[in-house]
Amino acid sequence: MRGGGWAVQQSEKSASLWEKLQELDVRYVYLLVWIVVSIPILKPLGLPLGSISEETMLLYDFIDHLPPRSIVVMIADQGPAAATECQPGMVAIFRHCVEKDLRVLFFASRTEAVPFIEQCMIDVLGASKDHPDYGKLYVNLGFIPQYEIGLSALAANIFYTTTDTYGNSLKSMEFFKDLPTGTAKDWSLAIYFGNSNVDWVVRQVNDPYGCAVAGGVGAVLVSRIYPYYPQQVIGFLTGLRGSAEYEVLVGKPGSAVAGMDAQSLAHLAIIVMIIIGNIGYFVSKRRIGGF
Amino acid sequence: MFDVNILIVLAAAAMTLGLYSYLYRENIFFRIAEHAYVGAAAGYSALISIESAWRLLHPHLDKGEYYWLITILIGLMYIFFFTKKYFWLYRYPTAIVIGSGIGVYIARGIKTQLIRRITDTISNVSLSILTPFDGAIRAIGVISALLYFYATMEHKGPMQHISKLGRYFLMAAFGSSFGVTIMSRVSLFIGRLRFLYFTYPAQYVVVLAVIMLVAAIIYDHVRKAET
Repeated sequence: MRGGGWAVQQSEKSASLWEKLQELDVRYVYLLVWIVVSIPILKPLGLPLGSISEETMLLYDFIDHLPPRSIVVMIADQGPAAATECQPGMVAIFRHCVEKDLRVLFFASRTEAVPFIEQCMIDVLGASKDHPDYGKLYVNLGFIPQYEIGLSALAANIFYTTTDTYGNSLKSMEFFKDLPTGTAKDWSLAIYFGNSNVDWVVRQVNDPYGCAVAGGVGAVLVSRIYPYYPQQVIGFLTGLRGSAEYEVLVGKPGSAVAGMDAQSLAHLAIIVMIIIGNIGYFVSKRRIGGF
Repeated sequence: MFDVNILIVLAAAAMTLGLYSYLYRENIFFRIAEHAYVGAAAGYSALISIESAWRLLHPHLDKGEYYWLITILIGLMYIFFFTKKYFWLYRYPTAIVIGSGIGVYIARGIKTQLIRRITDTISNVSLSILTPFDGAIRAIGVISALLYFYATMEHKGPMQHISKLGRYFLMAAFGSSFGVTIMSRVSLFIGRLRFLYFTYPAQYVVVLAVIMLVAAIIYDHVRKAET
């Protein structure tokens, strides 16, 4: 009898522990995540990145095999919230394009993305409009409003906007001298950076003009980009991890690689918390006779 | 010589921590940061939009094509949103934007997003050894998930099992979306922490914020004990 009583007591004790955990103030969870993320940022652990994902590799190979002076259009749609994930990827891809002697046309589809283009050029070239190749290999069109309508107009006629963001006439630039059609048919690749939507890019340049589309997207967008992969979207960078992979591929590890330790540990902590939460749920449910 | 960048970094750090302070509880610093963010974002967007509109417009005006000014007038009609009497005028620019948006979308959307989605779902078979299997799972997932929403027939017999399978596929998709959303938010947090820890002099604001947080926790405990 004593044994049975002891078992019941222990069961009640453990059940109350799980219940307590379930009712834990959520602020302790925030505190835990802050600590878990802070430790590897302050003292990097050097966790391995693992193999490069197929989506990243296909994009890298595509750019790597483009002939010199091919046109790559970079559509910046990252606000400050998405910049941590997308900006390192944008910088790494632009660095790759510069190494391969490709022409890169930037434009922002969101007002907040405008400074990120400037920053990307400065990070890779050390300058933006003052760089000797600006206007020859690289052009920044600045903000083009109305997302899909703006892209549709630009894809139909590259001179839809007559000047770049600094007010220079596009027709006077070497970049635009030998364009066969002046439409998106001349573009080899359009890459979307951001975490809102890639559908409109696929709709306006892939299907009508046959231009390949890729993405450097926030992880939150990945589940929406997969249906297009690999037929309509030839490859993409998945959030911070994708950016880190591309940084490794171009041999210039940067902020994305530095953030991966923290990312991995934070995920581990969240997984542990989800498991504990679920155990607590099932234990307390069984205790009140739910199962 | 005072460096204005230091002031910018201090403000950015204070705003970041002010917004995160909401995680402890609602407070005046969060309110200030929230209002400042909304105001700054709206102001910045307005400025860039006006600059961009002018950049698109002025080459036409330079050529004497003044009829392009009509676009400005149409844009200004948005202001009538704030009047009761002339509210109807606000509907014109809205109708133009929505109409042109739908027109541009419809023209391409049906082929790109409906027909291609269906054909690619079935024919995605030749990328790697695993792909035929992958393609089959995708096809079964799409069909069963669609049948889950099929309401014309009662879900009994085989239909019950198919719709249940569809529900599992939907749950897997939601789980995947949840996972990548967490990944995204953690990345954002990592970005802000890297800024706070490694950008001089943001570190001092972090120390100050931690001291204020501890003080707030102690204050709350004392008040709770008193009541």
